Amino acid sequence: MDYRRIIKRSWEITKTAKVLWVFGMVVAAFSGGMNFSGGGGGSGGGGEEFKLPKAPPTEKLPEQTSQVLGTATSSIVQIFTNTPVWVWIVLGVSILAAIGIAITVSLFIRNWGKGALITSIHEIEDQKSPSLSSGSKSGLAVVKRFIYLHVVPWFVWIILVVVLSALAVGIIIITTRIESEVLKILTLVFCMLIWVFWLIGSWLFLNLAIILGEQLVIRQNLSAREALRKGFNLTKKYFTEILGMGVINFGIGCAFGCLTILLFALLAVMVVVAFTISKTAGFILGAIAAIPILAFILFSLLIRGIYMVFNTATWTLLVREIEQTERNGVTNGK
Amino acid sequence: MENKLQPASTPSTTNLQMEKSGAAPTPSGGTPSRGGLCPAGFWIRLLAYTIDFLLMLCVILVSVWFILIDKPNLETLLPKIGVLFYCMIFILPTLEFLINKVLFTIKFGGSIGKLACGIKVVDEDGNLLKFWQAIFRYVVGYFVSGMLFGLGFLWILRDPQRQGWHDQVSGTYVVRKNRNHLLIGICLFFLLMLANVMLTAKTVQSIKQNMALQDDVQSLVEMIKGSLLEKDQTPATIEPQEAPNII
Repeated sequence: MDYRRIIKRSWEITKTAKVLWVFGMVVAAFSGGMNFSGGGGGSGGGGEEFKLPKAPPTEKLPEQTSQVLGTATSSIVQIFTNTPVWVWIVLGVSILAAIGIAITVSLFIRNWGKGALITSIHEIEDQKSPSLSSGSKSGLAVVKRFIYLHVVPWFVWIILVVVLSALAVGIIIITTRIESEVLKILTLVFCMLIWVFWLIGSWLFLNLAIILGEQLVIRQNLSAREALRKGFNLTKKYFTEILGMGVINFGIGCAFGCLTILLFALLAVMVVVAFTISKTAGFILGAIAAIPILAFILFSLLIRGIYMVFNTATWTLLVREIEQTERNGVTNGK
Repeated sequence: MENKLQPASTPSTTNLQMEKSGAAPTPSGGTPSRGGLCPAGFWIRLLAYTIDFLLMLCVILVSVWFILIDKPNLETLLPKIGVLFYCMIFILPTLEFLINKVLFTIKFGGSIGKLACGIKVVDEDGNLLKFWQAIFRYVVGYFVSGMLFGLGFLWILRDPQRQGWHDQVSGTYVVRKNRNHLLIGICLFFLLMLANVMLTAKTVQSIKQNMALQDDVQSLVEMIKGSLLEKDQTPATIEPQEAPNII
C-alpha cells in the first residue's frame, strides 16, 4: 500500500472539498473518544481528581446558620415527601424517554453524516462534484444499514466479553483447588493472557471490519450483514495493510492532540514569563495568547470536522486501493 | 472538482429541475422560481421564525400569569412552578415541534409564523413535505444548520436558491406564495411583541401585588441573611476541608 499517496490525496480532498466539512462536523459532533475511525485530535481536559470532602464542618457554623439550614432542609424534605409517587414516575418516564430519543437521534444523525461523507469522497474520486443535497440522499439510503453495522456487532461483542469474563472467573475459582502452586500460577497466567489477547484482538478486528463494512455498504450496495461478513474476510486478507493505516491515523490524531497541548503550554509559559518581567507585558501577551485558545475552543467542532474528513478519506482511499488490487488479482504476495 | 462550498443546485441544474417540475426559469437570470413561486429570502424567514418564538413565549407568559393570578403564597406556588417547568421542558417543546412544525408543514406548508408571512416549505417538485421529510428537515437539517454558530441559516443570504444547509440536506425550498401576507406577518409580529410586553408587565404587577408571596420570600431572605452574618457583619464562611484522595 502506498500510504504516502493516500495521505497526500486525503489532505488534498480535505483541503479542496469544503462541502465535506459539513458532514465531517456532523460526524465529529457525535463521535466520542479517539479510535481508528476518527474522533481524535481533541485535547480533552477534565483530568482533575474527584475528591470527596470530609464530614460537613457543622461545629464551625454559627448556631443560627445550622438552624436555617435545618429549616430549609426540612422544608425541602417536606416538599419531596408530599409529592405523590405518580409525579416521580411521570418525571422518570419523561427523562428516560428524552434520553432514549436523544440516543436514537444522535445515532441516526451520526450514521447519516458518515454515509454522506464516505459517498461524497467516492464521488470526488469518480470525478463528480459533491454537494450537500447528493451527499444527504446517499447518507439517507445507507443510514439503517450503518446503524445495524455499528450497533449489532458491538452488542454481540459485549455479550461475548461478559460471558468470557464469567468463564474466566469460573476458571480462577477452579484453579484455587489445584494443590500445586506452580501449576496454579501457570494456569492463571495462561488464562489471563488468552483473555486479554482475545479482548484486544477481537476489539481491533471488529473495529477494522466495521470500517471496511461501511465502505462495502456504499461501494457494493450490500446488506449490513453481508458487508460485515465481507469486511471480516477482507480484514483477514489485508490485516497488516489495514492495521498499518489504522496506526498511521491513530498517530496523526495523537500528534494533533499533543501539538495542541504543547502549543497551549508554550503560550502559558510565555505569559507567565512575561508576567515575571512586567505586569503590563504579561497582560498584553495574555490577551494575545487568549485569541488562539478561544478560537480553538470556539472552532473545535470545525477542526474536529476537518480531521474527520481527512480520516475518512484515508480509509476510503485505502479501500479503493484494495478494490483495485482485488480487481487486478494481485494480492501483494498473499 | 469543486473547490468551494457550493449550493446543492447550480443555476444549470436548477433549471433542469424546473424543467422537470414544469416551472420556467427567470429570463433575467435572477433568482429562479419554483413552480412559479419566488424563493423566500433570509429576512422574511427570520420574521417567520421570530413570530413562532414570540408565540411560544406568549404561551409561557400566559401560563405564568395564570399561576400568579390567584396570589398564591410560596408554599402553594412551588408545586405549580414545578409543573410549569415540567411543561416548559418536556410538553411544550414536543407539542410545538409536532404540531406547529411538523403537522402544519405537512398539512399547510409551514409553521404559524411561515403561514402568517405567506411563505411555505415545498420539496423539489413543489409539493408539500411528507411526514418523515418534515421530521428530517426540522431535526437533522436544523442541527446541521445550527452546529457552527448558525452559519447554515445565514447561508440563505448568499445562496442563489435561498436555501440554507437544512434546506439543501433535506431537499426542500421555502417559497413565497402570497406577497400580501408580508404585511400580515409584520402586523402579527408587532401584535405578539405588544402582547409579550403586556404579559410581562402583568406578571411583574401580579408579583408586586402579591403581599403573601412577598412576605414569604422576604422572611426567607431575612432568615438566611441574618443567620449567615455574624454580629460584626462578617460573613460566615465554610472553611475548605482537607479531603482524602479516594480516586
